Amino acid sequence: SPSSPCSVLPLLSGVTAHSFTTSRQELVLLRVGHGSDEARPVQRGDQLLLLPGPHRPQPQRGVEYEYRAVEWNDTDYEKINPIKYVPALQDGDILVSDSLAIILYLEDKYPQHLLLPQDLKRKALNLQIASIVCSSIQPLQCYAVIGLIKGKLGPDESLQIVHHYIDKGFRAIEKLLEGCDSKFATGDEVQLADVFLAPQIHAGVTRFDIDMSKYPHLERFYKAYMEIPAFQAARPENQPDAPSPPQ
Amino acid sequence: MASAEAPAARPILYSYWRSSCSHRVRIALNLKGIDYEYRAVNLLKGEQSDPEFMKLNPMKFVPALVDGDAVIGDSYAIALYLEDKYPQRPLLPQDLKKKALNIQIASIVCSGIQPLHNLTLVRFIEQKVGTGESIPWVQQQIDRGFTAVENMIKGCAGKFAMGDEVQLADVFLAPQIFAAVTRYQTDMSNYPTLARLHGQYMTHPAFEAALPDRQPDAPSSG
Repeated sequence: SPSSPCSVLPLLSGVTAHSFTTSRQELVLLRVGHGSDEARPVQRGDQLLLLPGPHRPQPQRGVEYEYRAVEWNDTDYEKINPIKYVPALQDGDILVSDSLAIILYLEDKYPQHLLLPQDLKRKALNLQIASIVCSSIQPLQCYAVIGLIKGKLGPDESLQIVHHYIDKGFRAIEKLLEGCDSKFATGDEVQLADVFLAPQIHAGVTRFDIDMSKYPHLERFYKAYMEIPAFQAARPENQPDAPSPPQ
Repeated sequence: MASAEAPAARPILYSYWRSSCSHRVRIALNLKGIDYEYRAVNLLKGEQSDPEFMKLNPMKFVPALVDGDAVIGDSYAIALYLEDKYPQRPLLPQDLKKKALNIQIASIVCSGIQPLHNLTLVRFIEQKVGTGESIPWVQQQIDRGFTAVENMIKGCAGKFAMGDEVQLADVFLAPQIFAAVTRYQTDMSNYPTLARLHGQYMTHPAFEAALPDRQPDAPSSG
């Protein structure tokens, strides 16, 4: 049967999601509601979508999945993911949370579109860039956002923290990629580093007023990411739970 | 042709005795039986900002590993590199579910706990939010992460976090628990499985040799 587009079920409290009985893999992606005030920022959830590459020779099916939005006060979610962060992925009877763990799981489970190269040095570079984003930028950014929401930090202080950590991380990544003239971070194919960079740059640009001209490689990659359907489809504003734009 | 090639140089680990991120890599190297050269980077003296070190890791963090022509910063990237390059004594199981659990636990430590109590942020909180504010903050981060990990391993822990063999989760947990106990006065009675693991780690040779006060740059006592 023809592949159907990724289908989305709205989350209705008290109603369990309808499970598919077709032979295709059913994956459920849980993400926090967009704009909820206790929510951890959703950037990581943006990464976990269709694997990329309109430039690849085979027809791009990607990995189809079901999207389930998670509200910030969803008490059932804690049973699914004890640390209560999003995203989480349910694949059959396996539940994986944490974006890096999910992506490395997908890497093993769906080896037809690998995000990590075989070469150990380039693989390590991808992991290092991913780690800079997910350990050294995003958690501190999250701290600053939540601090502001909870009134522990003023708006200027909050933004100062965000800028400090984004700048430190982005400058380090620029240094690691010095002399890089490939289309994407570690080559001419999208790889793990790009999957982590795209949402972080996107957040920087759309939420935190980051001047990307200071980071010429990253700026160039970001423009390239904007052209890729898989990345476009993953953007926050294109998610089922994104608030509709004001009239 | 010439006789046997010269033996490959040992990997070099740039480390600070007290850095819990460096501690993780020391454990991994010991578990795999890898002989390495230890080069101290004195964080208190700001040696992480030396131009030569910044070439190795522009984030100015320890650890960094130099292995032949590979230069790798970040404990996570280093651990997974070692796993590929030195497959003896694997730290990750084949089973995808267990593998994912190991990675999740490592992520909770290295993204969810440790960055939120590192010195720069703690100093910032003390200055900007208020003196003494950093202590409940750190305790809260540790509590959230430890509670989550405790729940995740309750069902599968054996002698170690994932069963009776040491795995990647242990490599990341041991330094975090050690820091929580020795530096942040964490009450481990709330996390009985983690408390028990801490006891195991303190008597396992590979973990013992990696302890901060066993390192060449640890201040000597007395």
